[in-house]
Amino acid sequence: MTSPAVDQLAPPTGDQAVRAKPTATPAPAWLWVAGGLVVVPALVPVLGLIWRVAGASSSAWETLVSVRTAELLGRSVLFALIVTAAATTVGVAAAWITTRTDIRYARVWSTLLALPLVVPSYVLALSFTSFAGPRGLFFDAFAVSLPSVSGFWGAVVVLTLATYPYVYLVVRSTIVRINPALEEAARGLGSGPWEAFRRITLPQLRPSIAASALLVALYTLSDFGAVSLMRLDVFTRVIYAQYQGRLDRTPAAVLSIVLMLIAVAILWGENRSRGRSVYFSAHTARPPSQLALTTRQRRSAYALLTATVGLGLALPVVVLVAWLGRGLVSGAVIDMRWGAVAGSLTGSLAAGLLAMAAAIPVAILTIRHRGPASRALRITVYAIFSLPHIAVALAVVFFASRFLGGLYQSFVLLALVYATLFLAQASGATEAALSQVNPNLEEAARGLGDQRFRVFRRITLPLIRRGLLAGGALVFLTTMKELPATLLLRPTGFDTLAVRVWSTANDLFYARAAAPALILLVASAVPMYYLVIRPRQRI
Amino acid sequence: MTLPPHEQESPPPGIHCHAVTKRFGVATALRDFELETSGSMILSLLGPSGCGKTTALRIIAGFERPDSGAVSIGGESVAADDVFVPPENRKVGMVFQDYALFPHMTVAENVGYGAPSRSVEPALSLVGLDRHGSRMPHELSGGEQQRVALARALAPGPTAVLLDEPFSNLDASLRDRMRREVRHILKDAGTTTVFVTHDQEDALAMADVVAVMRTGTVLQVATPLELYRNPVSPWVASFVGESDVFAGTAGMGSVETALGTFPHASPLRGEVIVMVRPEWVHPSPAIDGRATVIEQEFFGHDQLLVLELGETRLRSRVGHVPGLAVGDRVDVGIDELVLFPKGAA
Amino acid sequence: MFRRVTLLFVAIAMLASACGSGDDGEPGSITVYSGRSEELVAPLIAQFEAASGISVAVRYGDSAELAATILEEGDNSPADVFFAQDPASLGAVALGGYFVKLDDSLLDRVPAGFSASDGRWIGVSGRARVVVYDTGKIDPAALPSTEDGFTDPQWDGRLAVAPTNGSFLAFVAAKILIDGEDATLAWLKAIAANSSLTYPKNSVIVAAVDDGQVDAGLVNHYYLFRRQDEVGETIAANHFMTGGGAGSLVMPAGAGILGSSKNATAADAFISFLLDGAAQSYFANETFEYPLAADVAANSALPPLSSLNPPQFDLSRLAETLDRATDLVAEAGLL
Repeated sequence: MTSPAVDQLAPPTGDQAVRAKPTATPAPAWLWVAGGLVVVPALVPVLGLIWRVAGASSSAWETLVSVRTAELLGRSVLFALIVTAAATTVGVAAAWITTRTDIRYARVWSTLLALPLVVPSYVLALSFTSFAGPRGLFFDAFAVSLPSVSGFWGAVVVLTLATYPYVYLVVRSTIVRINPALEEAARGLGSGPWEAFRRITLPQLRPSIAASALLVALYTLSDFGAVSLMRLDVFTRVIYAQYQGRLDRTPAAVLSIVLMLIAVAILWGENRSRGRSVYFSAHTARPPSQLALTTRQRRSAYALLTATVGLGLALPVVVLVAWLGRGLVSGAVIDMRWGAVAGSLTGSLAAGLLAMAAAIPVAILTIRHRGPASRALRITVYAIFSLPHIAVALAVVFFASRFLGGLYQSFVLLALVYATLFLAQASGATEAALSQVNPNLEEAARGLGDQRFRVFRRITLPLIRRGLLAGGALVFLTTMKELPATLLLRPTGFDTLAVRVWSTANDLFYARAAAPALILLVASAVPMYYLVIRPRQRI
Repeated sequence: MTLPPHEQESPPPGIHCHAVTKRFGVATALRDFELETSGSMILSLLGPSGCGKTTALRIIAGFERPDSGAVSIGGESVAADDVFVPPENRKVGMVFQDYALFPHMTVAENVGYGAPSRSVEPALSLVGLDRHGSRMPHELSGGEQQRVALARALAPGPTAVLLDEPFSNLDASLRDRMRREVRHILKDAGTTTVFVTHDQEDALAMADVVAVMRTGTVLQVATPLELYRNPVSPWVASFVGESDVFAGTAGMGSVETALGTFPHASPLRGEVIVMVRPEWVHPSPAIDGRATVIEQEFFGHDQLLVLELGETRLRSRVGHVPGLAVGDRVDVGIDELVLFPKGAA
Repeated sequence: MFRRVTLLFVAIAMLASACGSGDDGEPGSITVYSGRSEELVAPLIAQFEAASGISVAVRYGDSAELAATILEEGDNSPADVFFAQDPASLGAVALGGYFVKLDDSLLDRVPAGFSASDGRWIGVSGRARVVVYDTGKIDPAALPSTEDGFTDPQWDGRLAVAPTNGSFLAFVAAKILIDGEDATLAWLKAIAANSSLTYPKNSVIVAAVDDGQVDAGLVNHYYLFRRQDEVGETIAANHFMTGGGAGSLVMPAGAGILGSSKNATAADAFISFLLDGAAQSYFANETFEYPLAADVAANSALPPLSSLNPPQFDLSRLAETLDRATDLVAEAGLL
C-alpha cells in the first residue's frame, strides 16, 4: 500500500537518473519577491530575538556561560542524538517490515504506525506517567504496579514514539519506490537479505533518512512539555524557567538563539550530506517481492510493531479513556466545546494552505536555483522550526502590537505564524516532489512558447501537487497540536482543542482534558488518513 | 576471468525445471512448467506478456518459491518440496529488464559486488567496457548499462545466466547490435543461459532453443528454424512469424483447398487447417487466376502482396514480379505448408 | 486547484470570524487577560456579565506568559484588566509601569498584606503553600513545620519540587525577602543535594504523589481538591507548614487595571465584582481558595486563614526579587 502523497514526502531515489542540476538561468524577479515575502514573517522573530540579544546586559550572558548551561546544552544535544538514532531505527524498521516482508495485515499496520504522529507529545508523556508507577492506572486495573517511566531513558522512549512517524512516513514511501530488482540483483550476486538491505537499500534511503532525521532532531531539541514531564533536565527547560522567573526576557532570548545556532549547525551538516547525493526519479515496474520471514523473525517483527503501536497509540488512548471514565464516575461534567473543534480545524487548515503556498517559492529556489541566497532562505525556514514557540510568539507580540494594528490578535496573523513555524515540513515535502520533476519538461513547455509562470501553472504545479498536499497535511497535523503560539496570538475568544487539553490538564482536570484530547486524535487522524495514507492504496 | 571450461564430451547439466506450478492468489502463473538446458545453450522463453515467463525466471533465480515441482541448477536441486536454496546461494547471474544497476556505486563497484576484485577487469573487457570502471551508472548509455549488467552477472562465474527482457529498453538499431554482442559474450563465457522475451525476433535471432509459453505452460520447445517451419499449433505459428490460415481437405500426400491442390507430408487426413508463411506463397499473373491482388506494399528488397479469394486472404512476400499490380488476377503456388487438425487453435 | 484553494480560504475566514468574538472597543466592554484558567473563572465572568451588562472578552493563558505579553505590548496592550494567579506576574506588570493605582475603595476591602503596597494591584483570593504527601508512607506528625525541615537527609530523594514553575520561583523570592539570599541559596543547595525530584508543575506533582511515584511535594494547596473532584478519595493529603517561614506563605491571586485601558470604569466594576460576596464564596467553595474580602469564610475542608501564620513582608517586592530567585535556583543546580 503506497500513496503518491506519501511518496512525495521522500527525497527522490531510484535507478534512473534525471539530470536535476540547477538551471543556469537566473530565477525571475517574481520568484525572489515571493521568496522574500515568505521569509519576512520568519525573519521578524529571528531578527527580533537577535536584536534583543544584541542589547543584552552582561548578566544575560552570565546565564549563558554558567557551567550548568553547558551541561544542559550537552545533555540536550546527546538526548537529541539518541532520540534521532532510535526514531530512525524504529521508523526504518517499521517501514521495511510493512513494505518488504510478508507480515499479515500489512495495510492495517501501515495505518496504525503513522497515527502516533497525531498524539501531542505532552499527552503521550502524561499518559506514560499516569499509566505506570506504584499506583498508576495499570495498578488500579490489575493491582500490579509497573516501574515508573521517567528520566533520560523514559524521555528517550516518549520522544522516540512521538517522532518516529516522521521517519516512518518518509522512508516508507522511498522504500516502496526503490527498484526492487536492485535488492534482488544483490541477492543473485551472493548477498543475504540483510546484507542486500544494508549495502543496496540503506544507501539509497540516506537522503530520506537525513531529511526526516533532521525534523526529528529539531523537534526533540525544542520540545519542552514531554521532556519536562519525564523530569529530564534539558536546555529548553532553562529557557522556559527564564520566561517564568524573570521580568527580563533577554536571557531567554539569548538561550533561544543558542538553540537556533545548534539547529543551524545541524542543518549545515545535513546540507552537506544532501549536496553530494544524486537526484533520481524512480519508476517502479512492479511491486517489490516480499521477503518470507522465518517464524522467529516474524515474531520479532510483530513484537516491534505491537510495542510501537501499543505504546505510541494504544497507551495514550487507553489512558485518556480511563481518565474520562474515572471522571464520569466521580460525576465530573464534561461540556463539549465545538468551538474548540472548529477553531482547531480552521486554524490548522489555514496554516496548511498558507504553508503550501509559501512552500512553492522556497522549493523552486532551493531546487532549481541553488546558491547562497536560496540556501539562506532554506536555513531561515528551518531555523524558525527549531525555535521555542514561546520565544517566537513573544517576538511577534512585540512587533505586531506596535506595527500591525488590527492584525494583532487576529486569525490571519495566527495562521501566518503557524504557517511560518511549520513551513519547513511543507517546503521539505515540496522540495522532494520538485526534485523529481525533470527540468527538461519545463524547458520543453517553454520551448512550446509558454510564459514562465504559465509553465509553472500548467506543468510544474500539477506534477508536484501531491508533494505539496502531503506537506500541507504535515503542517495541518502539527498545527492541531500547537500550544504556546496559540495561547499568546489567538484572537480573544478563539479556542482550540490543544488549548482545552492544556487548560484542563494544567488544573489537574484530567477527565475534562481527556475528551478534547480524544477529539483531537480523531480530528487529526481522519484528515491524515484521507490526505496521507489512503490516496491510491496499493503495494 | 575464471569461467568453467565446457569442453567435455557430454555437456554438463544446466537448468532443469520439472512440473513447476506457481499460483498468486487465485491466478495460476505457472502450471506444470517444464524446461531443460545444458552446456552453453542459450534458451529463450518466448511468450506474450502475462504468460508466466518472468515468474519462471524468478523461480529459477530463487526470488519466488514454487508451490510444487522441482528446480535444479548444474545438477543440484535448488527447489523441491523440502528444498529451497536462497538466491544468494544459487550461483545464478541475473540481468534485469531495467538492468538494476546500483545507482550509488561505480561501474567497477557494481561488477565487483558479487565477485573478487581481480575478476572485475576481465568481466568488463569481456563486454568491451575496459575503460568505464570509474563511471557512475547514470553516465552510461542504455547499451553500455546493459553490458555492465551482463558483466556484473558474469563476473562471479555463475553456473547459469538469466536475462529478463534484455533488449526491451533499447532502440531498434542498438537492439540488433546488442543481440549479436550479447550472444557472442554469452557463448564466450560458455554458461547456460535462459532469457525471457515477448519479442519473437529476439528469440529467433539469439537463442539456440526457443520455448514458447502461453498461460503458464510451455507449448513447444524447438530450434528457431524448427519452430518457424513446424509450429505445433496455429497460435504458435501466428505468435512466431507471420502466418495465414485457410481450410482444406487432406488426402494421402496432398491437400485440396480453394487455392488449389498442394503436396504435404502430414499424417493428417480429412478436414484440416492449412498454415502458410508469406514467403512460402508465390503468385503468378494469370488472366483466369483464382485469386486477386488487393494490396501491394513495396519494401525494395521484396514486396508484400495481399491476395484474396472469396473469404480467404493471405499474404505473399516475394521479390519483383514483372507486370503485377493491384487488381490483377493471379494463380497461387505454395512451397511449403503446415497442416493442423480442424478446430486447432 | 487555485480556485478551490481560494474558496477554501474564504470559507475558513468566515468560520474563523464566527469562532472569535469581535466586541473589542465597544463601550461597556472590557478585555481581560486571565492567567487563571477558563475552567475555574469562566462561570464567574459569566455571572459578572449578566449582573453588570458589561461584556468581557477574556484571553486565557499562563500568568507569567501573559505578563510577558503585556510587557511586549507595552502601551499598545488591548487588555484592560490583568487577572493573574500570582503576585510575581502582577508585580512584573506593575514594575513595567503599566498598572494604574487602584481606587482606595477597592484596596480597603482586602487586608493590607494581600495587595501591592503601592496599590497597583489587589489580591482577590489566597493560595497557601503546602506539602502534599502520601498518607500511606508518611505520618503527618513527622512532617516539618517549615520548609527548612526538608534539608534533613531523611528526605533524600523523596521530595518533589517544580523549579521551572512560577509559584515555586515566587516562593523562593519570598524566602529571599524573609530569610535573605545566603540562607535561601543554602536551602536550595541542600534541597538539590537531597536529590529532590524536579517536576514541571504543581498539578503533576500532586498526581505523582497520589500515584505513589514520590512521597511528598511542595505545591499550592488547591490542586488536591481538583484531584478529589476527579478520583474521589485521594491517598495524597495536604500538610500546612505553620512555622511562619516562606513555607507558610499565602500568596494572593489578584488583578490590576492597565494604564492603557480605555474603559477604566468597567474595569473597576469587574474588580469590585471579584471582591463581592458572591465571587468570594465562589472562590471559597468552587476553587477551594481563601476568600480575602467580604468576610466570607474559607471552605470547611481548609484550616482557617488565621491559623496558617503566613509570614509578613511586602508582596509587591516579590517581582523585583524574582530574577535573583531564578539566579539562585540555577546556581543551586535545580534548573
